[in-house]
Amino acid sequence: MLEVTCNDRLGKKVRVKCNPDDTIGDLKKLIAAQTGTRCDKIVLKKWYTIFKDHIKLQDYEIHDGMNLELYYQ
Amino acid sequence: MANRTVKDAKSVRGTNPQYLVEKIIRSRIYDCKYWKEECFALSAELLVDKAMELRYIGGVYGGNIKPTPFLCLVLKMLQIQPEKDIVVEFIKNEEFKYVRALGALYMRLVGTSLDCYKYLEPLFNDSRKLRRQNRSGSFELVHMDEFIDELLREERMCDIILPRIQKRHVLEENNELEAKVSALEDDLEEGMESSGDEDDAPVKAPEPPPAPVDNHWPTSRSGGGGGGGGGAGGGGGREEKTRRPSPPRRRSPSRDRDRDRARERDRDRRRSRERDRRGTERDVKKARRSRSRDRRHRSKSPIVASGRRDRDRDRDHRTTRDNRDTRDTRDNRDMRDGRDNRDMRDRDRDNRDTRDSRDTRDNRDNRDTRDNRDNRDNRDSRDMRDSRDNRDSDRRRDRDVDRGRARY
Repeated sequence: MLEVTCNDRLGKKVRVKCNPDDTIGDLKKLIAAQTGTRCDKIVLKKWYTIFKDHIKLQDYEIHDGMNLELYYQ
Repeated sequence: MANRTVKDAKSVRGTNPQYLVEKIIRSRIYDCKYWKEECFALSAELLVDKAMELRYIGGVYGGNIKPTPFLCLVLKMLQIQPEKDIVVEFIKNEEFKYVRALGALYMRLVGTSLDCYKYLEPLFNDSRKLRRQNRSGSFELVHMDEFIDELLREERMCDIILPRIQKRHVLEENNELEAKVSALEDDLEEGMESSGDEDDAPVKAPEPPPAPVDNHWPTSRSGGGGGGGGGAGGGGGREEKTRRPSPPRRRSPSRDRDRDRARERDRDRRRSRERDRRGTERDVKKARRSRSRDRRHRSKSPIVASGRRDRDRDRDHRTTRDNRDTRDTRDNRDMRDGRDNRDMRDRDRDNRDTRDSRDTRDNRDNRDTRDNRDNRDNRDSRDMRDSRDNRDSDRRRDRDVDRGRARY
């Protein structure tokens, strides 16, 4: 179980607990549950790398405490 | 600006029609290549052509939110706001299913609840397959009637939030709409009585094309027409509908081909005859022309013979002949530079004494190196005016002119 922080620099900062073998899509659903936006409106990025929905967190090497950038589409 | 809605557009749902598409997706559409290249200055007619080239429906896809051409055309339609007749034409058109899907989505976005049910429900009978691109970029299969069902039922379609329309039973209670008769209803009843579906070709007249007036769209007609065999009627009607356009297409190419071949034959015959005729004329003209040209040429030729032109033209050039250096420089005894490069080899570079390669000629006199041409031979090019014309009487006049003083 790891905890990831998502920040959109405009006031929305959420901490989400998830498993390493969850996909990004699952993480987006968890974020959507906490922030209130729809899950398909969320884009997770780190600098210019857009995280794809079907890949697991452990494959992206997202560890506990990591910050992800929250964008919208 | 290219992205503004047309000036006299009606506001849809109380707002700029383009705002039906959300801001972020709208920006992505404005930035995409398809919009900039293909959707610039599209009118309703050109839009039809673009719509006919559509190959799939879809919203946005990919991590960086790329819009599909279908979505770009939807936004374009919202921007130019075509008339309702045109949209109804899009929907009624049978040949291009993606044009139909485009019209249906547009109608769902801007039409009233009544219009939506009225125009979209007949499309339930169309069960052709559509290609849809989903979020991840891969394609999936949907059918037209599924698509229409989703349009009427769901909240979001192709990444556009669909405006709310009234529920069907509300309209039925207000008697604006007749009760929905499903095309499958009779089929279901029959299916319960007998075991299988019937496969006769039904009287399923295709409501879409001939009916120009809106009143011919009531759902009861589609239900009644499908009564002969609802689902099977749908199946047989489907075949009929798809079959009907093709036969005329099959016949005409061969007919056209024969017609064209005959025409070509005539054309070739005519052309060859003309060519022969024209060829003889051309030869005659060519012969005549060449003879005349020869004549003129011969008259022009004596440049060598007459010295008249030569004299005038070469007046300025003649003096260079006189200015030529007449000395024999073959020996170059005096003109030669004492520094002979034969001795300027690298290995001898440091050993060379530059004193020996100095120019030892005495230049004080310059008798031999002086240019002997200067004053003696330029007799012809000398300006003969100089001393003779500046006589005293003219000097003052010239002086005044030079100073710029006007002679009053």
